[in-house]
Amino acid sequence: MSAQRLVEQFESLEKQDHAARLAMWMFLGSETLLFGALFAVYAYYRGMYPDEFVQALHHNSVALGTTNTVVLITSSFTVALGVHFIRENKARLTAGLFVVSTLFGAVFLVVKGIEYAHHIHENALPSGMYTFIDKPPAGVVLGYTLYWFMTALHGLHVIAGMIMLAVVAVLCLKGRYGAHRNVAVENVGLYWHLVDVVWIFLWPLFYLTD
Amino acid sequence: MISAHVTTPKLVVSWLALLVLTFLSFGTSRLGLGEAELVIALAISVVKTLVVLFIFMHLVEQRFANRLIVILTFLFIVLLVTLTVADPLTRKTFPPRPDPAASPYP
Amino acid sequence: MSQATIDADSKPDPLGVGADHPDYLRADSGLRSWLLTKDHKRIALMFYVGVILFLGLGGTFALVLRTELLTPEQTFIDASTYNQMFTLHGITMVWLFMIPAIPTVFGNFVLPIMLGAKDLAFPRINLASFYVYVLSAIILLGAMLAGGADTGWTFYVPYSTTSPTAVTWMGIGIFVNGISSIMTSVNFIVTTHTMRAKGLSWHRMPLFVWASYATSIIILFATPVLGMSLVLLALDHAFGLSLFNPRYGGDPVLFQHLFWFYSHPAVYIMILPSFGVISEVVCSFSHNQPASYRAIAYSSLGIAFIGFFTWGHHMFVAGLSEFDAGVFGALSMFVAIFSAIKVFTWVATLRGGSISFATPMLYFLWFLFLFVFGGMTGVAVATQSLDVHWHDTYFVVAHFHFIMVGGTLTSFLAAAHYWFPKMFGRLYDERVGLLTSVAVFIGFVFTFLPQFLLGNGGMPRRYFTYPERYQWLNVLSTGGAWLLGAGLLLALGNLLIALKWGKRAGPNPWGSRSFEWITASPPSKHNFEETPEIERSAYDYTLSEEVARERAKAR
Repeated sequence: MSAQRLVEQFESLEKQDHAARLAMWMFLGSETLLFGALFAVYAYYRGMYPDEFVQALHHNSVALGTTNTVVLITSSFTVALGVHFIRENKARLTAGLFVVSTLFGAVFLVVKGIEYAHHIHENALPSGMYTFIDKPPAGVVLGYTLYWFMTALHGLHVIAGMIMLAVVAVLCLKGRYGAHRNVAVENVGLYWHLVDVVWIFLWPLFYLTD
Repeated sequence: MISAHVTTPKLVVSWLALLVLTFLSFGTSRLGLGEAELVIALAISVVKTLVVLFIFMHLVEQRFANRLIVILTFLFIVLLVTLTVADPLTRKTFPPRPDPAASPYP
Repeated sequence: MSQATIDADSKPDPLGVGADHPDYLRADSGLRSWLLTKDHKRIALMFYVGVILFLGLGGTFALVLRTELLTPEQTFIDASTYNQMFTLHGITMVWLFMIPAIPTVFGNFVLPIMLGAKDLAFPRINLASFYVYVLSAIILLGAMLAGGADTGWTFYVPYSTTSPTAVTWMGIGIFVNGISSIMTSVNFIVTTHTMRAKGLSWHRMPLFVWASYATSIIILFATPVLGMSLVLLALDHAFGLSLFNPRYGGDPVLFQHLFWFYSHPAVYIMILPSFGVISEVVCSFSHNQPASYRAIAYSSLGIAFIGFFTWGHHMFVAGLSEFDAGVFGALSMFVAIFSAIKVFTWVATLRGGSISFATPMLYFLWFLFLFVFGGMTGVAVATQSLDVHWHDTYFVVAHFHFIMVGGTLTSFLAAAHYWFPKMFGRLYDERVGLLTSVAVFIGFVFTFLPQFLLGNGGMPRRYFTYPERYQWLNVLSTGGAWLLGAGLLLALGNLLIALKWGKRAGPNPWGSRSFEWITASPPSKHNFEETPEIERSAYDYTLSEEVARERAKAR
């Protein structure tokens, strides 16, 4: 079984797994820089308009944001447990934990959706559509546009992560992965943790602005 | 290759630590410390990230190459943000804020 | 073929390793075996075709531009077509030719062989990278037909957000192109880390691998930032996202920060692989080990790193703060130190070597002249007080063409000639090769040297008409451009003829000691049937006298 999955260009399975893992870390590094550009935009405008920027973001609900932080951290924990158990060959347990994590992801999206619905109702929308405050001072609209763009981009990553988690969970149940074959499980886990890490930074920047 | 093992108790402790840090971060944001608040919140976020990276993402037991990628990512983001932000904060000759009248839009 | 051992003393296999297997060109046949291949060598050839096509397209745009500038007033195209032409020239040359050129063609072909590997770490990702590149080319060509772009290749806001041309689709095309580069660079880094043959330590690797590694690091971390800034631009152009719009307090200078965070390192994405090629060429043709292996290897990493923090020198007159301008100006000059280390090391490598003047070696000399000239003017332009005078004039155009065309194009041609016997198993005609090389060089110098004078005399770039006193220099420049174009066509013709009628090349026609020359020419499908064991460095010319004598007999 394990000899079969060694592709011809690699010398050993250990190297092949190392290659897959390294590639995933590099992809995550690249993804982080994608958000890094947006963090630079955030920092630039927050430095330029310290008061107006915070004023705009103060509107966000701290309770919902913090709920989502706890939800994502917990989902990250269940994913980490799942990766831990696949190494001990407990594929069914891993599948169960990944399903739970996917559901946590869904909870996250529902909470985010409630927030978005609230904002739409109040016309706290990005760029030209922002009419929450009449004649907003410079910087307010930028803050809100960034909020929408960064959280929506993060939301897309959550959806992508959920799809991957669900697929790996199904494959675990089918007996595809075990103690000696789990790099894919690990890599999907890594992706989900990245989604968590990005949110760990988005949360204080967009919700804890007092 | 594997120098330290991530075990179930370690994972549980990390999870609890992350939750504690989250509420710590939330608590300090209610104190009204002004500018310092952002710094504290980001510092706590960095600590949380390190916990996720080293325990949840098993960085403690991986090769140096993977750590190097993390170090470079962090370094490049910090330098991108610092050098970019330094611009509007240190402008003297040029206007520090753009002129809304210069908008090309109708 | 049993396991090959590559050490200092053993006689090389006269036919090359893997000569008893069918070579990669004949191993499978049919269109399907090409389009769905996972062989890095075939993917490299498909990239080769694509890259050359876009060099032709970008070159055509350039010739239209230069011909238009023959006379001070309108010559044969109108002003808005002219704006389109210089934009499309830039976009095509930067993203469809120069950034992919050396890594995807020669990197793909020789990097795994240099490491003693059978293929790259992820052959499927490699093939996907090619198709993503094709997709990006289709999107960009579609955008060119559906309105083009007239913003210049830099897409500066606010104009680009209101331009009536197809800016949105250009942004999307370049974003997709970035995905292709990232795929290739992940592949290169992982391959270098995990697939080196037994005994091939980091300090025995050919220098081309170091250069590709450094390039890949830049691509990996800089490309996403460009992708994001172009997504923001495309969303602004299409839906009015307005993150850079002064009406809401947005700052157009911020777009330049994000754009140049990628696009300045992009210059090193273009030039670092060239450094790799040049290092290989200079050692192979002087039959000498590099004067300092570590100096060349580490300065590549140094350039890759420092290159990230110099982007502000494009923005000295854009409204950048004095503090940032000072920091960026100083950091920019640091790059010159690393480049100088390389140049001196190459020149020192010639000393005591047994030099043979083949076409790649001649391109090395042109490279040296053009790169040093372009680099020194770069230091001048990085000086803020001088930049205020030269900014947005032809001086800057001449400077970056000296670096990017003089550096990348000459080393692309050097690589095309140097690895031609390895890729196709034939020798090109050396005399024609030397002649075309001279034509390319003279054409190049005549095109861009007058532009330094034009810029210093005050002619701004991107202008459609100009005062009559600039005409003689513009005529020189246009004549040079036509000669350069003709030289390139002749070089291409020479290689195409050699493809069919060239003399058979042995495994190692240049007497090089680098590892790719141990395989048969062209290499078999798996390069090495058994992973070789490597017991020497790639530049072990301790037998240089014998090798030189053998070569003298063979020629």
